[in-house]
Amino acid sequence: MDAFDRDPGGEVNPYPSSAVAQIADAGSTVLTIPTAAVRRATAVMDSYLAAVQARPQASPGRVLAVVGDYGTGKTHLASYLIRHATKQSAGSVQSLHLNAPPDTFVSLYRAFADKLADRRELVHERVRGLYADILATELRTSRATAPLADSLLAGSIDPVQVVDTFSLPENQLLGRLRGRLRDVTDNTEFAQALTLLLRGGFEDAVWEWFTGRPPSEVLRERGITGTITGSEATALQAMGVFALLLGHGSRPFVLVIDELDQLLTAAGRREDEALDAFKEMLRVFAASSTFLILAGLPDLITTMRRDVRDRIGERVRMSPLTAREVHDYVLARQGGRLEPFTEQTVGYVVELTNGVPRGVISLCHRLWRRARDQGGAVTHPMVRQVAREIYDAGSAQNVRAEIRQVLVAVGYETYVPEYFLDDTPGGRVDYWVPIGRDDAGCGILLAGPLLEESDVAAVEHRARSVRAHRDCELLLVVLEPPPERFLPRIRDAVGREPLHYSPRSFADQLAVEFKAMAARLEERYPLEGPLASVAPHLSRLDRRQSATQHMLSLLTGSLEDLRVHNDQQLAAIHRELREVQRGVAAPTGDGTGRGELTALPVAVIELFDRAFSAVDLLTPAGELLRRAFQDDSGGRGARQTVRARIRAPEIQSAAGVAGLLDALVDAFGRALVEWYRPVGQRAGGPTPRERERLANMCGIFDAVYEYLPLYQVRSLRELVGPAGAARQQQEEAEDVLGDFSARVHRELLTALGTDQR
Amino acid sequence: MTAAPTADEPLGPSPDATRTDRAADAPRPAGGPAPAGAGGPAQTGNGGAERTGNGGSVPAGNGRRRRAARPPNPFAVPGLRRDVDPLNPLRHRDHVHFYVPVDHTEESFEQCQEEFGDPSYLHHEGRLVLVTGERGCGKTALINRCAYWLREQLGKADLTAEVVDLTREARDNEAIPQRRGNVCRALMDKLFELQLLTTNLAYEMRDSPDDAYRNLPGCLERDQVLIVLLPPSADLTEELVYYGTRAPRRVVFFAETAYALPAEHRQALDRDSPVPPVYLHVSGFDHRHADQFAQHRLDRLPAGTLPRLAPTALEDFIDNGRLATIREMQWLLYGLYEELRVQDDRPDEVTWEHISRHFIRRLRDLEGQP
Repeated sequence: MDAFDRDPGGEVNPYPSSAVAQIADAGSTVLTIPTAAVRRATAVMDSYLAAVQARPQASPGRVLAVVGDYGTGKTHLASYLIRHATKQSAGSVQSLHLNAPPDTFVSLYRAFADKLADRRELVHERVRGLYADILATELRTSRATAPLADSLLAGSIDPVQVVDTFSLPENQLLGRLRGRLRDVTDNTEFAQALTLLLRGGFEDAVWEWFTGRPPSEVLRERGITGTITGSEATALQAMGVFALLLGHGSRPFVLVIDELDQLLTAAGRREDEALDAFKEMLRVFAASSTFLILAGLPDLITTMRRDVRDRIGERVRMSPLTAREVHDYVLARQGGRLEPFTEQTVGYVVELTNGVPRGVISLCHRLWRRARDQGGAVTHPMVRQVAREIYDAGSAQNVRAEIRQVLVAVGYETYVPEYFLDDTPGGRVDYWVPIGRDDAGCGILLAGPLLEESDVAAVEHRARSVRAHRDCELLLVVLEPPPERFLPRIRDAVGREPLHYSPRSFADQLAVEFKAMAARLEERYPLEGPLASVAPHLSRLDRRQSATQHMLSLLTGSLEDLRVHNDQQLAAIHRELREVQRGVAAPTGDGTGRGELTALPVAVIELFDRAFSAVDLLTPAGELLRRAFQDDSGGRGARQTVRARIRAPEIQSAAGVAGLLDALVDAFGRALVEWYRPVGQRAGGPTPRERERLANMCGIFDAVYEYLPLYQVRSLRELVGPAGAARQQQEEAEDVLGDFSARVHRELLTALGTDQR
Repeated sequence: MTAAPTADEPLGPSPDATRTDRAADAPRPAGGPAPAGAGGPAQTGNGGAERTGNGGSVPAGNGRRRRAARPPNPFAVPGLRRDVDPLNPLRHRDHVHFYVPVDHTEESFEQCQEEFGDPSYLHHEGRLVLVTGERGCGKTALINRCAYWLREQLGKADLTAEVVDLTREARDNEAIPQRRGNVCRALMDKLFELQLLTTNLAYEMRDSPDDAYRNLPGCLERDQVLIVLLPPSADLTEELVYYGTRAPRRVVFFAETAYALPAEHRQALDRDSPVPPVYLHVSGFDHRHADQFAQHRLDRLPAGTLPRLAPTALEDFIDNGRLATIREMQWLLYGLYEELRVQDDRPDEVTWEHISRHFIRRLRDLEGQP
């Protein structure tokens, strides 16, 4: 969401401090510059909304690709389109936004399913809507029940409740629903699973399957045998199914898949089958009533297979902002005033940022504040200064780290950082890799923002200085794209295009560039002697092995870190819960109920300790809930556990049973204390009447205990205990409580020196 | 076509009296009824009939004015806790008189009688009786009737029969092995409780259904027959094959499902069961069945006590082939007559408009509106 700063004088900075759009951006603070791309995309959305209204005469589905470089406003545009649709359709539009992972379509589906699982009501509402349609049609056949049909279609009454309460023929109606879902989704297993959502007790099993897990036994027994994430094809097919379902009816549905280029780059390296499935998914979306927005770098389109690309109905390319557009934007943000900017400084901002919206907004935000602080207007030097500050605060450290990793990964771990070819600052190479003979090598130069003539001149000087000393291949890495007008000079001095750092693609691009540079040097310096002919191969093999080992170590390291981190997190939660539980189970001696038990013989106290420990699951459950509110990794783990389990009826029943068991043990203990105090203080042991009273109390405990289904507590135990231990703990609890009263009875009489008959 | 009535109109001309009486008399149980068995779902056992013992006459007390005796609700069935619980002569012998020959239930009952006319073969074989049909059409009531009759029949053949009701021992969302295990354990527990086991062998195998069922006959007296009512199988018709093919001798399993039996399961049952199962079916419901059911109940009242249904009331209510069930009729007419019987001013006859208004009022209950 846009964030606005308030300056010391109390005036609000009219420019958002964060120029990174979020799909959830909404409200009056968001301003969209009506560029050509925005106007075109809006027209596509309007035609979609009109088609939704006009259906079934028109097929409403649309697939829109939005491409552009970083910061050009792709996500902002998607967000704007959703807001626009919401406004146009009086709020009835539903939407989901995904960031595509740089992985497989299976991962994309998982991201989609996770989002959907958080908004299950979307799916449930659609299924219930179809069921309501079917029921309404049935009830309309009789004039007596026709009024009910309207309430059903209006959504003011739940069709499941109607069928249940009015004892309508549920099985036939669900059968019709299954058929309808099969028609809508063209998928028998999904039709079955979605129908099960309307029958009590299947929701968790169905959603687990939706989120990619293998079908549980109750689903397999009902004909659902496949795993959605079993292949990329099935995962994409499932997305199509949901598009058909969610787009069904008269309410618009918008799905945004952002950064899709990452995924397609990865997908492009794999078999065609996945792309065929993706192509089919696009067809299904277009044929459904869904508006699909695919956003990504320009590569999204250019690297896409042609037949797949043809499935994208509309394409919009985000273009740089012109000086006129930025001028209008400034006026709009500043209530019609241009000050503290001028036409010229606005133009300079556009030049330095190449018209990239994110850069424009960031710069304007800081310039406005700087001008306000200094009580003057924005000047050219001020623009340069602020731009430099922004870039300097950028990711120079990240760039260096990534360069080092790439050099090692491609087999050149012999690089030298901060290498000086002479004693002048101009002779510094940020990374030098010796290759071939005669001190030849590859050099990487890092440069800050190239905003003005002097910046470019410095780069030219460094490049020429290196070349004067060594035969080399050079690469210039820049944190921000230099203005267009400086590019020819840079190319001339360095020998190739500067490589612009972007977090997502830098490593890949650098690896490609560097290998090409190294290859050129190796060609110029072939080895001599008997091994010369195989030397290049050996060298490459050596580097490849080195790289492979490096990648393996990185990969396994990451996985291990991840696993260890998760395990540690969960184990830490469970460990703490157990400690809490032990703390409660221990006699407190604080005068409260359990403290009073200390009046009993030690052996009996131990029995009660074990009993309390066995049944007290509410305290650790409470601790788990408390942790769920913490803002750290432990809190995240706790929230995941709570969210996954707490709504289950069996957990809630178990909590009730656990509470009652705890209260029962507590009450039994208090009664025994009352009984024991007078008996223990006098010699001779209990009288026959007191013995009878003790036996009665044990009988009462047994009678009540019989009514409490201990097995139910296992669900709660699984919530607060480590996986796999619940059964064992359950058995221990049954051991403890199974003949608890008898043991207490025996221990008490033993402690009193009485025979136990 | 006449416009559908609105819910605001009372059944008769005195809405005030209706509300007053409902408040003071016998309010309908919350939640609404569920069906009765085909022969009639029965009804709730209240309708005043059970609570007041005579059908709803509430004596004056605490200084309140004395009112005229209210007629009983003709759709109330003695002994039932909810107005749509299935008839169950196993618990209430009188229920045998409440069955109405609709939904093909009479033919199914007669078929069952025929199959077990000579039950001597049960000494050597067990058997499955499977009832299929839509939910609310009387499967459970039919099973209760057949089980009751069979128990009596076996007694005449010098066999001792015990009905073991396990209908609540498994849930729809449990997997078949789990359901099977629950049923077996519950059966053994009940047999143990009833002290019908001569040895503990089968009981000790309660966690292993195959073994427990195989050894069960040897643990029973030689003249002991078990009539076991299984939980509804819903769409897990595969489990029916298990009970059909594994029914121990001297055990009759009664099962029901609202789902169609797939051909492969039917073939397996016919092929692998020691004795082919008895297949009973309850069929759909139309206005003629509804009329027959309603007349049967209304005939139990003295003439003129409560208004009868107009000749085409039910036909108009479920016209044009709308799907309906006997449970829906039971629920609807019970609720309608529950209101009628406490009104001072009643219509001469009950038309489809009355029924529809009642239906819509209940709908508003669902919407949470007054």
